[in-house]
Amino acid sequence: MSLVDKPDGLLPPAVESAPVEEHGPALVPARHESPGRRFRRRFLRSWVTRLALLVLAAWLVTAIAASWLAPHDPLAQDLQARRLPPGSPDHLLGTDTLGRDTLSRLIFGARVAAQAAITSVTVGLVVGVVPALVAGLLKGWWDAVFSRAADALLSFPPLLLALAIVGVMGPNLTNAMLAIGIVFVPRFYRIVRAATLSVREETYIEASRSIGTPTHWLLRRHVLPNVLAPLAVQISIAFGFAILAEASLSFLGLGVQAPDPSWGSMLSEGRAAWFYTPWPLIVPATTIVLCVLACNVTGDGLADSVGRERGRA
Amino acid sequence: MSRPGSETPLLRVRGLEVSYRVGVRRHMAAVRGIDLDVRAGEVVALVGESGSGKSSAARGILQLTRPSAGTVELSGQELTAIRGRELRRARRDAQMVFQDPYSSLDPSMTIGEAIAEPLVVHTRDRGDERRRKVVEMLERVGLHAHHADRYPHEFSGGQRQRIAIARALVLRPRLLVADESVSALDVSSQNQVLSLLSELIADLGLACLFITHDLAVVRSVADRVAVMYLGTLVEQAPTEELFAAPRHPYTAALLSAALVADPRIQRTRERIRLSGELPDPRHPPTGCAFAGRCPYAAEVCGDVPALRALDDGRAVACHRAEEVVVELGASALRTTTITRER
Repeated sequence: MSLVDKPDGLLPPAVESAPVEEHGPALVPARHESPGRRFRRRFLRSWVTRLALLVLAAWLVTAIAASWLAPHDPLAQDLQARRLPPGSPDHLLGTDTLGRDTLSRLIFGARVAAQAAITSVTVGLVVGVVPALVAGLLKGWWDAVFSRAADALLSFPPLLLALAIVGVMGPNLTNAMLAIGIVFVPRFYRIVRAATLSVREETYIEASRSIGTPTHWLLRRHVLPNVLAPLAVQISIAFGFAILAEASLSFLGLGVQAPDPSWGSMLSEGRAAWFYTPWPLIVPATTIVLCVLACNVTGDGLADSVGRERGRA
Repeated sequence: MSRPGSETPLLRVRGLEVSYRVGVRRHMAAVRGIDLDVRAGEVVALVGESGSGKSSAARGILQLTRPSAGTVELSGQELTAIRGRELRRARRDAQMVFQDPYSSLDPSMTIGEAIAEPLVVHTRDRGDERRRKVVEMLERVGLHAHHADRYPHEFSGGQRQRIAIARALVLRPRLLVADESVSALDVSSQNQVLSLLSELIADLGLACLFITHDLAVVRSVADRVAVMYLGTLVEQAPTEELFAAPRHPYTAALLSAALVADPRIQRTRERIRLSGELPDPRHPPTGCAFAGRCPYAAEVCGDVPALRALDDGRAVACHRAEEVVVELGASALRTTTITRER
């Protein structure tokens, strides 16, 4: 079905024909704005959100193109050029105690962070969303089982749970990502279930049921699109948390293993000599703050631009 | 419209009970055993005040809430006995238009998608064929083909209800259940939607169960009226006869509460004022449910009156129905200036 959004679409040609006359032009909506365009208009209204999106885009591009962007091998040590300050001719952001290029390590760290964020959020969504839809729509027994399981997971402090999982499965990046994903599962579950519970009371669900729509269609065609808004907000905030969690685990040596670069392991390595050369510490720390902030701001922007339109505040 | 009653009715409801859970192991019966027939092509109005169980009856009939007792047959198929895929298939023949046009359309679906949904569920129509049917239906309800790509929030209440009607009729069902389908609309669009609805019902030869609390609406669309009070049917009669001479005191009170368009008559009319409120359905009174508010109540009313057939083909659940007739000055109601659309 093509979008009809031409000026002549506003004034139907059929106005003259007799039977539709009484409900002709007056019934035609004055303005037609597709949901996509409406969302974009509202989302991009604030410059803070636009800036946050720019940061996120830069992060992702860096992650993808790390091998081309990095000026040096992130693992290459140059003992002749240790602890260089930022702005040094060959090392834009300086070098660490082993003479490794901070910028290159930062760039490859961006790749690790992106991998961790995407993988863990995907794990959280895959495991969390479907049970939530089922529980929210059908309630009863399934809801009881899934919700108690989610409560059990939620009763652990998030980072502690991730630590425990990595502790059991062994410290490496894959396990760290999975662990963070498991931390997300009950959180996504709760959001989606709550939204589903409110959507299921809407008449359009019953209306569709009265047509004879099978349950899995109801979930896919009516419930999922209408719980997507709160979920999108949660996802972008989860991205921020994933960056932080990956950095934390790597900082503790439970994620990325030395000598591979990650923002967390850079922090941990920079910590030793921070009093003499703070740069290897400040650079990744600032990057983490910036990215997490960008994720949260994007989440807020999403929250403001989905759902009912409010007046410009 | 109504045909001789010898054939088996399209919809046959017997002893329907619908109850809801209130609290732990306690139930509230919203519908307490009703019998109702709707013949093919017939429009039956189900009337009653709020809380009388009209909507619950509709939901029970369409199996949106499973009845706690009784049977519902649609074209000979017992809906109460089937479930799952079989029930979903049976739903094709009985469609519903809901009360609230603002919440009965999915905000994330275009109008075209909403109207096409029944086709997607029940037919193999694809692409052009589906689109053609959707557009045909849109035009039939007074909208235009280009509206198909718009979203519900761009339409008014009346338009949305037209869309809901298009969606309900796109499969050409045999029975349409309209649950207070115009009561959420303002009066002018009420009339438009109502005339559209009765036009479509006549054109497509649909049977319709029309649920409403508005007697003016009843008179303009229904062939037969069934009056509900506290989950039971108290009277059933052809529309004109019911309006001319109600047999149940409750029906009489309902009719006398309806406004008459002529102010001179309205001022001089004698109204039957009911005392009290609809009893709490969780604790229904013993005996006749209406006795507590009934001006005719007598000792016999301590027994539950059965719905009994009167000699003129009507049915009433009142011990003293014969005495009611005389005292109601229903002649004034005849002058209501409601024109039948058909």
